[in-house]
Amino acid sequence: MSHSHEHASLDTKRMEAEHILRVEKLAVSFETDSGPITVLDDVSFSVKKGQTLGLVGESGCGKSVTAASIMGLLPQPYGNVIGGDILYQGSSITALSLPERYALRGNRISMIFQEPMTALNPVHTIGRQLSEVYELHKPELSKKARKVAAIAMLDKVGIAEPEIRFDLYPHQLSGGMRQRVMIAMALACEPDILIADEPTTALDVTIQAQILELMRDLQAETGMAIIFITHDLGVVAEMCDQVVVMYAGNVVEHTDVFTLFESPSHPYTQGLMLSMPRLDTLSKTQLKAIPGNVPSLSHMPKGCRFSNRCEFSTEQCEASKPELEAYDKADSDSHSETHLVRCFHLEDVNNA
Amino acid sequence: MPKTLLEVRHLSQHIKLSDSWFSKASYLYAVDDVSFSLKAGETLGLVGESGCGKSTLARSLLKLMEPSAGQIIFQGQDITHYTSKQMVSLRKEMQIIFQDPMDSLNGRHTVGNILQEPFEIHQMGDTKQRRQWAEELLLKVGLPIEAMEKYPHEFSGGQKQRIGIARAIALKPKLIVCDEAVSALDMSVQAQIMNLLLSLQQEMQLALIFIAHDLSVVKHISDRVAVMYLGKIVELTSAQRLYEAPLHPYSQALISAIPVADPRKRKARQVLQGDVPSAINRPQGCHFSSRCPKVMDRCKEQAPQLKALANEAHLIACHLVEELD
Repeated sequence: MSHSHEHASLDTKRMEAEHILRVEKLAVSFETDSGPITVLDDVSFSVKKGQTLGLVGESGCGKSVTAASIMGLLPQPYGNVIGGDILYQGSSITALSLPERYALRGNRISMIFQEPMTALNPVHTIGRQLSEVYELHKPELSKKARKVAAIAMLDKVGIAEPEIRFDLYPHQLSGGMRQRVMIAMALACEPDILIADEPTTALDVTIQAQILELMRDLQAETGMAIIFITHDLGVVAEMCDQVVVMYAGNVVEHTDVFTLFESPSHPYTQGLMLSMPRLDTLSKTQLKAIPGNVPSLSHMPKGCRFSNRCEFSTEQCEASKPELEAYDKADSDSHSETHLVRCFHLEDVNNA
Repeated sequence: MPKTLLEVRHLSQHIKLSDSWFSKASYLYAVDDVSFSLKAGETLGLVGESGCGKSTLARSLLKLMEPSAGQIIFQGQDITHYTSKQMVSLRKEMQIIFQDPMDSLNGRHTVGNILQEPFEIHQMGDTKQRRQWAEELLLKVGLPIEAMEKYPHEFSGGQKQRIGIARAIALKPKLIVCDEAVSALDMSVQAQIMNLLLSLQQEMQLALIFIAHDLSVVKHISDRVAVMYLGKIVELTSAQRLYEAPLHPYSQALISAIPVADPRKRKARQVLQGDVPSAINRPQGCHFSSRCPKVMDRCKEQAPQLKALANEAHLIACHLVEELD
């Protein structure tokens, strides 16, 4: 008896060592004039050390709210976690006090955004803004040491002539360079987790390739985990180890990147894959689009949130909510990783 | 063989920046010596990094900007120096759709009014007839008749773009310029709008000039694609050929940078270093020479001309290819 107990506790320990962040049945609600609306419902996933987890979905699916919840940046006083938990290294961070939050945010968990100018102050030099990060999180450093560290960081993110660029203002840099500066600021304290919210969406494809390469190199060097929020399945295939597909505030599919692209199993994931023009699809043919639009948060279907756009939808789907459950597709090569899908009719969907 | 609808010869858009007694005037070379032709019912894609002149070129074609040099020949007429009065009747034939439909839809008018306005301007039909035409347009772009009485803000992004398209096709144009028309839309909706454009094109023999930064989207919708760099076309060929075997080093880098939606095909890409140089101080010789991985001495002195490959409809401006011949 005691043996098996010991075994179990070892297992949890190992899991905690491996999974640096776990989101468990997270539910978030926003207060509005017409009452509270649930923007996240039953969102669960976990992030492993040194790996990249992709959060994919269309606008309004809850990707960014999930990120804000992890960062403790839900708009106050409207946004509230109303259920579930977020565990960083095994301990809950949803109910932290403000000083405890400050110690975590920007230090252990950091974030970068689509538009660098939302994070950079236009009236201060990039050097000053980068030094400020050290001032806040490493107060033991002298002013001179901060400058040295900041210049080393600029160099690390691939900014040529960092000593000169240190004194420039954000508007004097190109979009790609600003993104590099924001990455430098986010990584200054060597966080364990970097949340990247559409960091390359506003960039040209050539600059996007540069930034993705930079993020991969920095990850290999520091061993940080990345939560990569994007709507671009190409970027997901390129960057991620694990993928969470979200739709209308729900996780609908969660698996490793190979399984996701080889056997997408939720009807929404399948629809997304088919609606995307690929370089190898025949040009000028009709794409298989998902009919309709994402429902608004105040008019969610009662049962499965995808039911009103799904070709496999039945009365059961309209009436009750499916759970996120493990699914083993009979004919797929087992990747041994768990494949979680939220759908009542997986057999029908995947044998159609 | 479809007729040539639009022919552009050596079109330039040089924007004067400063001019004083003491310094030489400096120019921004937004579009520089661009030539191409477009057949009825054909789609030409325009790709290139931001600031390469795609949008300026599109606006010049519709004469929303007065070109600084060159010729625009539309349906056999040289329209380069048409006055805005002369352009009015031509506007029926050429339309533009923007990235954000709200840029062009008046938020204070109902969709019905927005769709009837083009007929009023061109004095076509009576009130009843115009209303009927507007309703037909809604059906054509997949919106319900009830939309007539609603305002643009009541619709989702994809539906607004449908309204924009409905108005663009109202007067049965021959040419529509789509400037990032699907770029702001979610993936599932983007596919709907691309399908709509493709079927309207077939039905109405529409020619499209399609600008988008998403290269997979451009490939899907275009017959031919022109790659632009700092105001110039560097390569122009069929979509198929360009994506399978690009010849210009810049096209090669662009296409290599497209993320492939297959995790088993992660590859070492040819990552282009640096940013696009300024369009005011372009590098001497070939403008791409400052970033080109295959640069030669000659490239820094002499600008290559856009030339057709032997026996093929494949245009390219690169010294390397000349040497191959």
